[in-house]
Amino acid sequence: MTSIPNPSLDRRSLLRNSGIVLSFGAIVAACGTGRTGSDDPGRLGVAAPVPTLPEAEINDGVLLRTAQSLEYTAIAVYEAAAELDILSGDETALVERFVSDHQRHATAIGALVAQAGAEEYTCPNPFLMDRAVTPVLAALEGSDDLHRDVLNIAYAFEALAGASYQALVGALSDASLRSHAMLIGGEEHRHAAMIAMLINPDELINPVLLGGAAVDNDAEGFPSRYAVPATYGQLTGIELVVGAVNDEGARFSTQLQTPADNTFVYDYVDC
Amino acid sequence: MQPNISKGLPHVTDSALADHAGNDRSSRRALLGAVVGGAAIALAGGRTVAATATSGLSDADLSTADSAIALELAARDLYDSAIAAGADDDVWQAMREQHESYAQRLAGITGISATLRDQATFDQLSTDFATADPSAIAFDLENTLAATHIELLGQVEDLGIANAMASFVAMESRHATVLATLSGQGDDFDALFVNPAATAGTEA
Repeated sequence: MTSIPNPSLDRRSLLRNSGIVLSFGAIVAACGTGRTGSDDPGRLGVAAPVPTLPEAEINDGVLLRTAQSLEYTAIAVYEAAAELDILSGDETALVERFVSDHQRHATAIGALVAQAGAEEYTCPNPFLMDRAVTPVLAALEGSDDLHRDVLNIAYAFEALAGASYQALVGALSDASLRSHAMLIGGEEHRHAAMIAMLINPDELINPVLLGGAAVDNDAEGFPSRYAVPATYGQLTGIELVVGAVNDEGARFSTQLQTPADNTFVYDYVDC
Repeated sequence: MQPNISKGLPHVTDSALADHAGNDRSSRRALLGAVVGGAAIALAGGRTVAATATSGLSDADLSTADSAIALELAARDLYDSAIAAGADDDVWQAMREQHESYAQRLAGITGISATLRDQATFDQLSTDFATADPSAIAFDLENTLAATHIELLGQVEDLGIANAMASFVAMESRHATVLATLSGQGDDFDALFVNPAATAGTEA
């Protein structure tokens, strides 16, 4: 007598199906009634509990406080650059003007913050300082060209400030504030254009705008800087490369991003 | 003023804070303020906004965008005048293309045809632009266009138009700094970094 295999009930299928049944059983049991204890996700180890952040609203006051913090961040960057004592007399005069402009911007934004019913924030942006400024400055240790690095840092933070004000235009609820934002944003872009002319005096216009090929990096691998880099103001990340080549053949690199949830200076954030 | 068209290292000196604004520049700026500013703020005057209601934009926004398009096309044509007069540096071609792109961007958002320039602005400035080196008048034009967009930003309701205009301001501001340098004002920090046409109505 010839046995007829049962394709739907061989030993392997039986084992697999029983495993599925057991798994569903475990899930059903876990979802059962009468459970007690924390609803928080399970954690391993003995790390400190995750702090509970205050409820925070992203309103015009918060956005303007963030803008004000960017001005103080730029000032902090220039103060750090000045301590390196690497700039020429003319460049130092330029930086002093930039610092003066940022202080003026901070004051102007501060008045708008007050109008929006919020408190001024007269300190650098804590997230940017921790995640961008501090590591960038640390990467200057042992640099093969500090002057090059300082100019690139200045360009990146000025371009970031300009882009951040442009981004504010789409975020502010009070339309009348848009003009204030771009009045200052335009000045940040002027700073950036000037620094780009110092870095790359022979190419003021991105060759792409003239029908040429894109040149994203220069011969040494640093992002190409142009006084006029694009047709429209860009909101994409701004790449910054500084420092010496490390053992792996690379330099320190980071992307500066316009403010987002983790960068905003919420009402509960103090200096 | 003898413009310096070379693209060498910008000249920055300790005397940069000195005010170099002479009568020539002031009168040019006044002219631009009257022509360009008037054209934009008057919101399209005699031009007919042909966009259909399907754009979903308010009449005020359509009119504002129409004015801005016309101004950008006038700027494009003014740079064309310079190129025709012998301005053969790449900068002028780039500026021309930039302003045409701005007109087309607004046209794309609104559905308005980007075909008609602001004739009054063009007529007023075309003679000054018809030169191999229009850097001085172009510097004023870029400042005035940026200032116009900055002011309009506070008036438009549509966020798409506002975002587009903000992106224009970013680059027109950079244009102005480049042109300040090319027009021999590379040691004048105010000319480089402040838009004198853009302060009115935006003081905190």
